[in-house]
Amino acid sequence: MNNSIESIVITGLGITVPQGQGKQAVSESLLKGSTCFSVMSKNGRQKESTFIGSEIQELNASGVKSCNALERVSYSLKVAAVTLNEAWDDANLSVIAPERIGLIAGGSNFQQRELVLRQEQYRDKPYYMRPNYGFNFMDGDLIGFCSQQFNIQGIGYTLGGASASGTLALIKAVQAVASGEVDVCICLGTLMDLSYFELYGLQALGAMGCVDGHCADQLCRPFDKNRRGFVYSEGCAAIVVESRKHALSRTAVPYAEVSGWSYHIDGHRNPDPQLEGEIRVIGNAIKNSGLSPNEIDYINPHATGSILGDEVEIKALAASNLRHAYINTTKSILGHSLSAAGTVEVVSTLLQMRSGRLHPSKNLDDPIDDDFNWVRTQAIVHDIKHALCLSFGFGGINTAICLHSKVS
Amino acid sequence: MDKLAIFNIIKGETLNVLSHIDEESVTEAASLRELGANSIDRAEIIMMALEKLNLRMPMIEFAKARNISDICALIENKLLEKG
Repeated sequence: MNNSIESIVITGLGITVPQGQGKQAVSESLLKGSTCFSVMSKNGRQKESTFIGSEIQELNASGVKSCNALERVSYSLKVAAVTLNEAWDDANLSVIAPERIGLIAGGSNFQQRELVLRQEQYRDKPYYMRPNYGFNFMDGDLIGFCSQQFNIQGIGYTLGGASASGTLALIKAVQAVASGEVDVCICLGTLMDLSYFELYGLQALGAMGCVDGHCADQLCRPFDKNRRGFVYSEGCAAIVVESRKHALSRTAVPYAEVSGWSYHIDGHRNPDPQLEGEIRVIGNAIKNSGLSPNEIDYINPHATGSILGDEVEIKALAASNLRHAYINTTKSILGHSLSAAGTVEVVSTLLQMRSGRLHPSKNLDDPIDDDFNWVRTQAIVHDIKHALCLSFGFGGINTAICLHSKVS
Repeated sequence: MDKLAIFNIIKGETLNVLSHIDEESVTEAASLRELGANSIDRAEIIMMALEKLNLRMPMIEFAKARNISDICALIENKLLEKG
């Protein structure tokens, strides 16, 4: 039983992470396992703190049509425009009617650092708050800005699903195409721009790792027995989806087919993950792809490096009969980009599919469960046929998506 | 503060917000809209000028200003009122 009668394919990708801008740079970094973790230095990231994370150093916006417009938008929006530009050109979207293109951006409250900086500036004189702030503070500004830059006039909205936002946005983009609302839909995993307030909160919660004796490079260790929590990263990705029929009619070459998906909530507020919910979403995504678990040959797990999250996830994968499939941890290299993570990791999966290799997992010295097909210190050769990508968000938001390399 | 000083502040903020325009085009007779400012750019320019002048004025008071000279006059009057 498939989710959609029509085959939905991916025809364009864009990605911007601290390791580099663009598919090629990111693919090479992943396969080499190059990390960029250090004490973060962007304005608004530290206050009597030494938070470790991975920051984009330089953003090349030269490809964006109206570069000048980037001067007065938030950092999340700048990175979105640059990333969307890559996917737009990759899928050659300029030939599509603007009203048949949609834009769904995964993430909510993603401009926190910029808002904190602006609020600090006007704390003692709020009556001079810039008029721009009156509409910039809302995430919808991203939709307005990007749709103007690229002339997108179909559907568009931002959606919030915590760390599952990026995958949720992709599922909603696929559904928008499957339902005929638009012919092409762009899913954007939005850069979550954290300020020191969120970083302190996440650390206090026990979700985010603090350095405490570990060097920056060793802090992020998903599925390792000595993991300490997730490590934050900037990141953004864009994925273009359309029906197979539509892609073929304009000779677009698909990366893969989105063969099945599933998402649901746990009915559980707190950040702790629920085993039953994860098992259910994995099982449904595989079933909706028309597959059985033994046909999945690669898993891109959520794998944040959080103490409880990793433990529950590995149990869910074991219970779903997936011990045979290759599995690695993209966040061990890139870090956790929260709202963008799901989109970033689907792009990472597709880049591995294209390269015929799987990237290593950093710091997986002592896996919490040995009886899995881990890709450990070195990249390996493998042609992915059926991939399973997972994202779970605070608030009990579970998502799973299956990708098939051979477009039927 | 004389009108020229006020004009220079408005001019500076105009060039800040509309970074692509020529300095010479920002004259007292010019209107911000003609220079390429949309309504938000215009509000930004006025608000940043008010901040520099340490003057509080509701934005609505500038609704009828047709050009930069009118904006300067409104600010000058408010400064005189304030004493």
